[in-house]
Amino acid sequence: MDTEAKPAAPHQPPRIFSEISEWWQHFPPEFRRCWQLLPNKDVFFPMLIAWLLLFQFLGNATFGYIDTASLFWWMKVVYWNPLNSAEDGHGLLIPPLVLALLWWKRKKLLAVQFRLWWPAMLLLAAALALHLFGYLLQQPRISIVALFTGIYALTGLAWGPGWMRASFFPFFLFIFCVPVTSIGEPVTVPLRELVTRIVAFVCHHLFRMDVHDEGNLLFNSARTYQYEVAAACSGLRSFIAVLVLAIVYAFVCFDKTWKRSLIILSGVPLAIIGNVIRLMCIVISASIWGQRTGNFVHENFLFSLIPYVPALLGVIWLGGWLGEKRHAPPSTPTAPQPV
Amino acid sequence: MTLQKQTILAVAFALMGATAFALIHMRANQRLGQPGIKATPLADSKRLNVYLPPEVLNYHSVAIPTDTNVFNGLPPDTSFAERRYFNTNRQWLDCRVVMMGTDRTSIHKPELCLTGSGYRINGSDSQSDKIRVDRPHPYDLPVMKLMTYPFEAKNDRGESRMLRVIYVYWFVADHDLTESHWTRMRHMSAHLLKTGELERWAYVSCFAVCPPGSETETYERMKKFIAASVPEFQTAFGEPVAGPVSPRAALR
Repeated sequence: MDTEAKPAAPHQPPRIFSEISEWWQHFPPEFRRCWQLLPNKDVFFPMLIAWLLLFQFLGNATFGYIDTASLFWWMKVVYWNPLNSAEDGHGLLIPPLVLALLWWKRKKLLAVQFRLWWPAMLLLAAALALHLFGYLLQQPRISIVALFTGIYALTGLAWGPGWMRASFFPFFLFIFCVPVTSIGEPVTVPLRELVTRIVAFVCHHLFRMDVHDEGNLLFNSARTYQYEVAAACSGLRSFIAVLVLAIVYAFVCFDKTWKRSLIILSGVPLAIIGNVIRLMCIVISASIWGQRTGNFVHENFLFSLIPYVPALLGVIWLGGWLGEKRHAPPSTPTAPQPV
Repeated sequence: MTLQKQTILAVAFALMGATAFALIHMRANQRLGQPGIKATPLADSKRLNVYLPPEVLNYHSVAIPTDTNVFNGLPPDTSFAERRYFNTNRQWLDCRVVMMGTDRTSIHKPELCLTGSGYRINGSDSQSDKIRVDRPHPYDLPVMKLMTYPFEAKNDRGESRMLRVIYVYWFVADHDLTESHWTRMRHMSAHLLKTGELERWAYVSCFAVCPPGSETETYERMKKFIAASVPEFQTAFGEPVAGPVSPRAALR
C-alpha cells in the first residue's frame, strides 16, 4: 500500500472559463471559413459603405438639440440621453444582438441559394424615398427605419430572396432601434395609471396596508411618504427589454407560429407584473421603514432589476410548458451557388 | 467582376447619389413660413424680436430675460419673449412666447417642460378649452389648460403655503391655431408636403399660481387677460363665430 501523500491536484478553473476559452479558440477559424463561403462580398460591402456614408453626412435634418448631420450621432445621443434616464438605451444593444443571432444562424444562412436579385432594388428605392420623406419632415425616426430597411435591401441585392427570408429574423429586431420614449406617451401614460391602480389595490385590499392612489400618486393617509409613478417608472424600458427577449426566445426555441405568438404576447403582462412588483417593494418598504428606505429601494441598482426577474422567469416557464423544439444536428453548409 | 455585378453597383450608387443630391437641395432650399405673431428682425441675429404688450387691462409688466441655459440649449434661431404682468391687486401672471426657426425641435411638448421644471401635472384637472377673443372678429382661441398638484412654496420670510399652478398654452403659426401638439405636427407635415414651406410655429403660454380652492377664479382672470392681450401680439386668428358680442366691441 502506497502511503506517500499524493500531490494535490492542480486547481481547476470553473468549467465556464474553459468553454469560453474553447469558443474563443474556435471563433477565428470558423469566422474565416464562413467569410470564404459568403459570395458576392465585392457587391455587398461597397454598397453598404456608400449607404452608411449617406446616413453619416445626410442623415439628420434637425439641427437643434443634437446639432449633427449624422443620423448615427443623433441616435447615439438619444440612446445616452440623461434627461430621460436613457430609456432608449436598449437601442445600443440591438445591433450586437442582431449580429450575434446572425452568427448563431450562420449554418442556415450559408445554406441558402445565393444569387444577385434585382427586385431588391425596389426595396432599396423605397428605403431611399422613406429617408427623403423623413428628412423633409425633420423626423429622424423615419430615417432610422429607412436606414435598416436599406441594409436589408442591400443583402437581398447581393444574396437573393433566400437570404432575405432566412435573415428576416433577427433583422426585424432593428425596429427596436427607433427611440420611442419622447413619443411613447400614448403607451406610458396608461401604463403608469394601470400600474398605480394595481399597486394601490394589492397593497390596500390584499395586504391591508394604508396605501392610496390619486392619479399616478401613491401615498399613505398621513402622507408620511408619497411617490409619483413618473414617466421613468412607467416600465417602458423593462417592457421593451422583456419584449425583445421574448421575441428572441420565441424564434430561437420554437417553430410553430402559435407558440411563438403566445411567448411574445406573454411578455406584455409579465413586464407589467414585474414593474408592479418593483413598485410594491418601494411602497411597502416606505410604509414600514419610511420614505428614506423607500427612496433607497427606488434608487438601488439591484432593486431596479426586479421587473426583469418575474418577467423572464414567466417567459421561460411558459416556454417549458409549451415544450421547446429539439434542435436538428447542424448541417454542413454547401458551397455557394455560382452567380 | 461580372457585368451583372457592375450594373447592380452602378444602379445602386446612382440611386444613392440622386438621393444625396435631393437631400442637399432640400436642405439648401428650405423655405420658412411667416410667423403668426408680431415679430421684427434683430440685427446680426437669426432670432426675431417677439412683441408682447407692456400693458394689458389693469396689468403693467416687466420683461424677463431668457435663461441662459434655455437660450443655449435650443436651436440658435429660436426666438423668445417673456413678460411678468402685475395688476393693482398684486396678482401676477407670466406670459411667454417661444418661436421656432428652421428647426421644429425649438418647441417641445409643454407637459415635458412643466414636468421638467419640477411640477406634477394633475391629468384629471387638465383639459382643452376655448377662450372667446373679440378682435379682429369674434373667434374661439383653442387652448390647453394644465393644472398641477398642490405643492408647498415658501416666501421670502420663510412662510410656507400650498399653491397650484395653472398653465394655459396654445400654438400659433401663420393662419393656423391649435392647442394640440399632435395637430400642430400633422399640420406642419401636411403643409410641408403640399407647399414645401415649413410653418413657423410659436408656442404661447400663460403661467399663474393660486392657493387650492381658487382655481376657478384664477383661471377666469387668466382668460380675461388672454382675450385682451392676444389681439395685441398675435396676427393669426380663427374663423369668425356667431355669438354675443362683447360690450367693448359694441362700443366701437
